Amino acid sequence: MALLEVEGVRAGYGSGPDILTDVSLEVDSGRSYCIIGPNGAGKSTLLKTIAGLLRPRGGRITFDGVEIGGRRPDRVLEAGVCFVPQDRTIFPEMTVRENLVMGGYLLRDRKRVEARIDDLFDRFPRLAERSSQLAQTMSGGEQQMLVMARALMIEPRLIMIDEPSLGLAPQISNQIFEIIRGLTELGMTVLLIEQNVKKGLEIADWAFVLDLGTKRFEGSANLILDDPRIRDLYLGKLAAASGEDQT
Amino acid sequence: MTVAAALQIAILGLLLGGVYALMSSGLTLMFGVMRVVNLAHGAFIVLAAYFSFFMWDLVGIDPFVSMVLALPLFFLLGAVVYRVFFPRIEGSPRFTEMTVLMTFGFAFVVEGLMSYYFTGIFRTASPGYARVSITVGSFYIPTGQLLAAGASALLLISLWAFLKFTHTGYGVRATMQNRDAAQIVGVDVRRVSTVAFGIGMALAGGAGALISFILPFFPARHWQWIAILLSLVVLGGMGSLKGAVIGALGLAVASSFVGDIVGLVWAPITFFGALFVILMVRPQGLFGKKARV
Repeated sequence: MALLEVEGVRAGYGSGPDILTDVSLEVDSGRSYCIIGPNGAGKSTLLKTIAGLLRPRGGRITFDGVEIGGRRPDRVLEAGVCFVPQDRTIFPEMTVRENLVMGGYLLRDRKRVEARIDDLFDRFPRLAERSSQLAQTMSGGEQQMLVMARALMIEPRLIMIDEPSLGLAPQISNQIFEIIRGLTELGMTVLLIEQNVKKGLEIADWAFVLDLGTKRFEGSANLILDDPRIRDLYLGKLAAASGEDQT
Repeated sequence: MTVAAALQIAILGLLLGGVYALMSSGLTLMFGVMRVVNLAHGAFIVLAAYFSFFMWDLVGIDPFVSMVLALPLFFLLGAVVYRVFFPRIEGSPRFTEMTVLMTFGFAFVVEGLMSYYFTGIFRTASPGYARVSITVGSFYIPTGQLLAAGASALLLISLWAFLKFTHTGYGVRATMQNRDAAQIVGVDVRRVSTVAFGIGMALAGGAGALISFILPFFPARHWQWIAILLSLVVLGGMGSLKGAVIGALGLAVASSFVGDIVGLVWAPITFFGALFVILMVRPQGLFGKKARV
């Protein structure tokens, strides 16, 4: 059985139209996935819906056999699904350490929170150096590192990362990609959205191609990178779109 | 003006400022956590002042005891008001504007009920300490105001400790700083909002009990207070507790000087004058964040 199953999900904002018209996909434990598709395809909307920030209008979302669609975000998190949104949602006036403490908000056990922070400081020495610095004073790359470390506080079983390299200098994005690659090598299940399609597909095992609110295609990431049809249909459009993003 | 006279004015201003700080802290907390502009905050303070006044006048219970009673009572009142009235406008893109209208309505209802039942005459509780003063060196300090300022400081320190050291306090601060991020790390923002609204209301309850013996009040008095409190909250930076406290202390002192030098009727203009200036030079307030577009 797949770890995450999304079946025929419809979703949208407020009283607006459906952004996701009908999305179905399966995510297996221990593998890494990249969602690609043009701007407005519904990639972020899909992750928000899985995370519980948006209530699905139809369809089912199950995680490890349990229905999580429409649950409160804290309940989804409790189930083991963590979301790293694209706008680097730090707590600006808290220190780096306090941000991590917040990441462990659901653990409710101070000792365990401390142990997790020590563990993450070993893994992210840059954050350890900045432990008592206010999060808002850090660079974009460091903030991205912080939100990812914060997501790892509860040792999630699935981590969903939305556009981690957005607005970062190429060198810095490469560091972030290395961190994500490290997660996949540790056997963590990763669901990634990445504007830099080539990079995203290099990291992921499998790719979903999303367009106009539905899944158009899926396949091995290598295959998609090399498939001329997909490249022409989506990657060409995407390359142009990601070019726009960077201006 | 001699230095001693100036110091005397500053002391009186600071004592009053301590109570203003308590009054505005609840208002700024509500805005910071929930983006609720509570125009009824002053009306609830008056309600608490009546509670404390009648407890003193009819039952003979000291206002400080009433204050301790008002805290949980007003906390509950706040939690209930929040749960009953706010869910139906939650999720509206015009949420903050709607809270302005809704709490404007609350203010009228509370004021109307108080006018009906308590009449419009001026009231002040008069426990013994409210009528005496102590002298330190050449300075004169009204005992009641000193005690009220001390109690305000105690409540504000408790609020700070709650926010800084407790699990729920972390959740409240996180929600104030970034609501989305708070949801993402698993804060139940609805629960945190209910608690924060309750605490904001409890602070109004505590402030009202203290007001009952330092300022004369009547039902419609809250319009004047809410105007001053809103200017303090905007001045300090909407949602910044530190800003509201510093703004309250600073402006209360400034208004005492204006009252002494220019004339008492001009004292309230200090708050609005400062508001104009701050909006011109630093629209986000002293400790506010620039609005994100």
